[in-house]
Amino acid sequence: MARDGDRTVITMVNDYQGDPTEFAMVIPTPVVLQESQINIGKKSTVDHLDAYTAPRLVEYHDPDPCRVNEFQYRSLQSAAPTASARIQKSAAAKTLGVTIEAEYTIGEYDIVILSATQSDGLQTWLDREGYKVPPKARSVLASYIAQDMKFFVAKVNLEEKAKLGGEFLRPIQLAFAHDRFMLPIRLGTVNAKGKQDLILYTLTRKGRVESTNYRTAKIPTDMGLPLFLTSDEEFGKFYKAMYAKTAEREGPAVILEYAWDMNWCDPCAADPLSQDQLRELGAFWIGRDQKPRIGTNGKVIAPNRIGGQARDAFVTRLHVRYDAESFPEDLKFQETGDRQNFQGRYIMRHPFKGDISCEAGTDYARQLADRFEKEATQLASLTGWDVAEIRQKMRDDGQILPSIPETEDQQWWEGIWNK
Amino acid sequence: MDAEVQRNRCRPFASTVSPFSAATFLRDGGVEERSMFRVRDVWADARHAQIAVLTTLICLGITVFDFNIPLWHIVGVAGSALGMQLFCSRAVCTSFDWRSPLITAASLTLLLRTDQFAWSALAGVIAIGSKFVVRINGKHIFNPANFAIVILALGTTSAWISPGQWGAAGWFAVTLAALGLMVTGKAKRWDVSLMYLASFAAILFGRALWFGDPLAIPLHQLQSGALLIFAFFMISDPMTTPNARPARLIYAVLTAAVGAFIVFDFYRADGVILALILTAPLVPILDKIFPAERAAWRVKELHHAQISQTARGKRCSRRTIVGGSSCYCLLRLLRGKSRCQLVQRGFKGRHGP
Repeated sequence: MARDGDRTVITMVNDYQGDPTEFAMVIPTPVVLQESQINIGKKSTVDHLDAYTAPRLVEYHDPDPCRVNEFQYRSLQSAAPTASARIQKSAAAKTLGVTIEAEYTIGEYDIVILSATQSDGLQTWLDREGYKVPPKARSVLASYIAQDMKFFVAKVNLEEKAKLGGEFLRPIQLAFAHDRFMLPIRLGTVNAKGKQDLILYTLTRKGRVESTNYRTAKIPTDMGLPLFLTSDEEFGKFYKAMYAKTAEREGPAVILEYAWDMNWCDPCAADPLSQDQLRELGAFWIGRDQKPRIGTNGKVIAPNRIGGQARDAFVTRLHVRYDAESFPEDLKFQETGDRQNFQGRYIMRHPFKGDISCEAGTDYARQLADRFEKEATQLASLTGWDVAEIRQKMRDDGQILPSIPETEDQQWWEGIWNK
Repeated sequence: MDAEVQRNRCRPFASTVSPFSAATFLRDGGVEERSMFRVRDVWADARHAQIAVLTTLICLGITVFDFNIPLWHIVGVAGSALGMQLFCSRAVCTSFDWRSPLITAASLTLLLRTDQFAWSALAGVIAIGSKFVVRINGKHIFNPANFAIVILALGTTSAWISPGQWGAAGWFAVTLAALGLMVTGKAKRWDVSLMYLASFAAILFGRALWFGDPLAIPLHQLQSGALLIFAFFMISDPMTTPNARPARLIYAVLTAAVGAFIVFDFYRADGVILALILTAPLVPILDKIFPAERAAWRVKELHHAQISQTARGKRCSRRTIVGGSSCYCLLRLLRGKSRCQLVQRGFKGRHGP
């Protein structure tokens, strides 16, 4: 989501991987959207942003494979209808108090913009069109209608999808201007079993974004952890477990995973996004990338990717695990003036493996014992894993204490006077 | 200069109220004389209770709620608020009271977020400055902390309010309500707090019924820590609320309605705080319609202060004319004072957040 003033551009990536005929979504929007306000974006750009804002293993600067979840904006998924006669649709809709404001086919999506006066009528219309709307959704739809919200309904156009090929559904982007800075999550909780995950990336100009109606807590960071977590698989498991534990501990809170001024990053988990990529994601205030130009000596001068034009954008990554009980209200946000950088950062320190047969080496070995134990207990408290298992894994991974040179036991007073 | 005058001349700390001085909130205007320190007397002053509660909330915020309150922010607002109070007290020849600016500073620490020391310091200056300058009938109009927060939050991008920082935990809401009732009970302003919350709750529940929303939504909104802090520690400030109870109840309903309007129609989560600055100017009008005796804190130092009022006037006028700085003159001019008068006539107002 990119926002500046009241202008908002939302990019929605759904991790839906089932049969495209079964896919549909209903999203309340504050305004009726024109065709030019809707766009189909590139998933790769969102993936790039995801990699850029991923938690860091400081030792390795490779892109972090730990993708806890894809950006998931799940409003209402239900079985979608097959094509139906559009002419009949409009007349039938009117009798139900539903107005079809516009219909577009954009990319692989058939999009209908609806406004309604009665939730019953809207639900009946959606049912008739083949959207299997759970009965509980009626009161939520009624609430949005009373708040004068419109509905953005999208389903997959199979013909267009076949032409385009590819497995995934591409992100849908919406651009509109409204004072409301919120994400409607209530419809998504109606038919969900268990908790859902939402990762929200925001691009703003002033600073960090935070929730105004839920607490925004920070993910634990700057933790020293055992070395066996350096593998991609183990780190992924660790991060998921730690997030689950943090979400449980903090209660109904939005968890801040990343907040960064995009003008610089040191180190970056992935290449910083180019200005064109940021614009693609909706940061409309950013200028386009400079084209390479020919210098006076005839050489091509490449534009500086990191320096050169400053990227006037602040990225915030928020992660919410929600259900209707713990998050009864839609998520509301505000942009703050806080430009302080924050990232989930996890430190893995390899012990020295050479010869330590000196006095300082003995001390070092003792310190290592403490450090290893601290890493094990820290990991246990962050994830809820069993500390004995962690210790075993550390040993299996080769994280064992270097052999301490055998010395006679020294009494504490012996080192005082250098005798 | 006789001994009495000598003792009470305009020096900022000359008649400073000791932290252990007895202070009791009296509505009958009586002067209470105490000669010895008693814990009960200290506790009887709602300002001490409020300082204790606000300090506890700051500690809770930092430890339990993981507030990102840098030390420089606390130092900035506390230093500037106390400094400004000292400066203004000297300028208008009233005794320096550490409690009022400390309450303002604690409120600013809790509610205002900035990213630079300068804004934190400016917040204290604006807050206390408004208390001394924006006055009608000897009563300041705006709650000092509220005034500074709104000016900075609307006037700069580097200062903001974090209404969601407290979350909406049930246990915290109950604790806040209990502590709030204790403090507002002492200050005899529980009526404003309860009426405000009742009005706001009525709007929230009415809205939910209108929309057909589950009651979990208004309950969640009502449990907001920021709303409860505002209701118990900001709108209830005895110095900026109307004097008569009916007027206070009307004031509370109006502030709740304006707050809800800003929150739901302008989509500003900090609407409840912004609303107070809009309704505060109505207080002098309500005071005219519903005349009642002003709330006042009576402390034993008052006695001396009243006796020597004339002497102070002479002393201060001379200083202003002969050696006073232009700042003093400006402040006195803004307050429309050609001669120094004892502004806070014998009481030190309790200033809410």
